[in-house]
This record gives sequence, structure tokens and C-alpha cells, in this order.
Amino acid sequence: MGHGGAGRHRPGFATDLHNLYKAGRRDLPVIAAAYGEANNCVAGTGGVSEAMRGAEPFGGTAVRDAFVQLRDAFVQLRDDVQTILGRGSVALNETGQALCRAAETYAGADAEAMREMKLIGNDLAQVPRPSSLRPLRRPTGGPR
Amino acid sequence: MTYDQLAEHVQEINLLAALAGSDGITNYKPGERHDVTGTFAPFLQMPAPSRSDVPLVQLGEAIRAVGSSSSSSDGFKPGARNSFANPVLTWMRGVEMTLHDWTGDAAEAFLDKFVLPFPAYNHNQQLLLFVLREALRAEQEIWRLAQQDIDRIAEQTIAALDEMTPCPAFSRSAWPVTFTVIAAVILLSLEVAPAEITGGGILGTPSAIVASLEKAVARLTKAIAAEREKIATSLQQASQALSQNRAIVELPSPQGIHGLRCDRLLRLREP
Repeated sequence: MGHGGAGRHRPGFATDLHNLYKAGRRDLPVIAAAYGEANNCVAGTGGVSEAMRGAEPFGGTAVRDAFVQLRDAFVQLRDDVQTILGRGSVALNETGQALCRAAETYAGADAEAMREMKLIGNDLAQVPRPSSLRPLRRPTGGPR
Repeated sequence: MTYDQLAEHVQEINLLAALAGSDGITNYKPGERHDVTGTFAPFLQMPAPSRSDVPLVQLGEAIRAVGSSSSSSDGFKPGARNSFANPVLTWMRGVEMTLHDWTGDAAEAFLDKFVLPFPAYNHNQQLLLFVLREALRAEQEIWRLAQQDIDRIAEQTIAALDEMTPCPAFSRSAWPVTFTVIAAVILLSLEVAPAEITGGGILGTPSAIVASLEKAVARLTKAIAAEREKIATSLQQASQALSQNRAIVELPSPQGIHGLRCDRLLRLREP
């Protein structure tokens, strides 16, 4: 183990911790925000299924079946995709938090690294933290 | 003539059919009084193609948000509709470089199961978004073409009935040809089988014209259903593919990655 435990400080270790922390605090949350935005955009198409219902009276029973089939197929795939994007956003954020916890735990166990981390922490504070992630919209719960 | 005027033209067809089937204004020949309002009724309630505009923008935004350089819609529409990549997705490359400095089960599991396969997950997710967008575009196109076709059917019917009216003011020439045009319109627009309406000899009465009109409308209705069924089938196939390959589409959660927990710390790689 290179820096396998507390108290074995080596030069540059704080930088490695800093990079790990930055990946968890900044990089992954930014990607998570992109996934959250995609999730919300897909959620914004919810009105399509309602609009498709407007076509149901068209053309009698046989044709109505085709309309229902299309609407159900669209809603199911749309909801699945939205769920995947939403869960992806959550997974990215949680993974980032796990990396931050790992970096903080190491820093807490290494006095020298902690000192350096505090210095770096000022720098980290300058990093815009993506905090504007809106709550994920839930899928419409289409037919299964 | 535009689709917006369809309701007016339905009334015009009713009037012209009545005129053509009468020996003057009110004396109808037996069996020559027609009302096509019911035939056109579903088309008067057709969904507006523009209803899909906003959802299409939303799907485009979703594609842009998770768009990467490894993904494009070329697989669905050759040579068209590529999407821009979102630069922030390249930040995963920085995460990868950071993790290369670390070793241990947690770091390796994180790299192998999350960071390195991320472009593949992302690509697969974007493909599904493309399927949704193309399905919506295809459905929008159906209604756009249906508006065109029903509009032309009404227009050609009016022209044909014009020729039959006893009133000289309505007189035109060569009405049977217009019904061939109707058949061609349907054939080209919605790819249905050629219409059965041919020649003018059998269309010499308002009843024959209205019967041909009803056949054309029925054919158009059937074509709309068939096209929608194709879209539904594509969507169902995509859903099936997703359910069979979910593990390579959905990003794993940290809990699903071996060792990536606070109490299973990453270890720094030996310099």
C-alpha cells in the first residue's frame, strides 16, 4: 500500500488527496447535474402521452388500438429512460460524496496532510460547487 | 385550400353533392343526397403536428445535456441531426486520471465498473433518447402528412362534384383525373397500396364520387394506423433491448461497486 494508513506522510500526498476530493466535490457533481438536467427535460415530455390520448377516437376501434399501442410504448420507454437518467444523476453524486469522504478520512488521519489540505481547502472553496441541481422529476408511471 | 378550412370544405362537399344530385336546387334524384360530415369527422379532430414541438425541444435538450462525442443520431438518420457534445462530460476523464494515482479494491472497482465504462453507458443512454426523439418526429410527420392528404382529398372531391353540378358557374373539366391524383397522393405520402379508384366511367354520379371519397378516407385512416404501428413496434423493440441490457445502460450506484464505501478506503499507488 503506497499510503496505506494514517501517519505515513509522503510529499505530494496532500495533492493527491486534493485531486481525489476535487473529483468528488466538483467533477462528478457537474456531470450529475447534466444528468439531472436531462432527466428533467425528459420529464418535460409528459404532456405527449396526454396529447396522444386525443387521437384515440380517431378511426374506430381497430385504429384506436394502434393509438393505444403507440402511446403505451412511448410512455414506457420514456419513463424507463427518465428513470435511468435520474438514477445516473444520483449515482454520480453519491459516488462523488464517497470520494470526498475517502479523502477527508485520509486527511483526518494524517496531520501533515491535514495541514496541507487546509491550505488547499482555501483553493477548493473557490471551486464553484454545483448546488443548483433541481429535485429530479419522477417518471409518469406509464403502463407496464 | 388549407387544413384549417377543412370544416368549411366538408360543408361545401355536402352542398355540391346535393346540387349535383338534383335536377335543380332541391329536387334530389333517388339515392343522391349525401352527407360526408361523418366521414371527415375524425380528421377534423386530428392532433395538431405542432403539439410535438415543445416535447421535441425537450428531448433535444436532454440529448445535448448528456451528449458525448462518441454519440450521434447517425444510426437513425444518416447524415443528419447530429447533436453537439456537452463538454462537462469530458470531466470524467479527469476523474479517471485522478483515480490512476490510487490503488486497492475500491479504486480499481471504481475505475473498472464506473469510470472507464462511463462512455459506453453514456452512449447507450443517448441512443435511447434518439429513439424517443425519432419516434416523436415520425408521429408528428404522420399528422402533418395526414393533414395534407385529407385536405387534398376534400379539394379533389369538390373539383369533381363541381363538374357534375347543373350550375354552369361550378363547371370545370376532366374531374376523373383528380381522383387519380388522390390515389397518388396517398400512395406517396403514407406508402399504402395503390388506390382502387381508377377511370371516370364508374364515377359518373355523386354517389360514385362520395363512395370513392369514402374509400380514399378509409385508406388514409388505415395508413395512419399502420404507420403508427410501425413506430410503436420500434419503441417496443427499444424497450425490449433495454430490459435485456439494463446493466450496460444504467450507471451502477456506489453501493453496487465493490468496496467503494467510506470504511473501505482507497489506497495511494506506490510512486
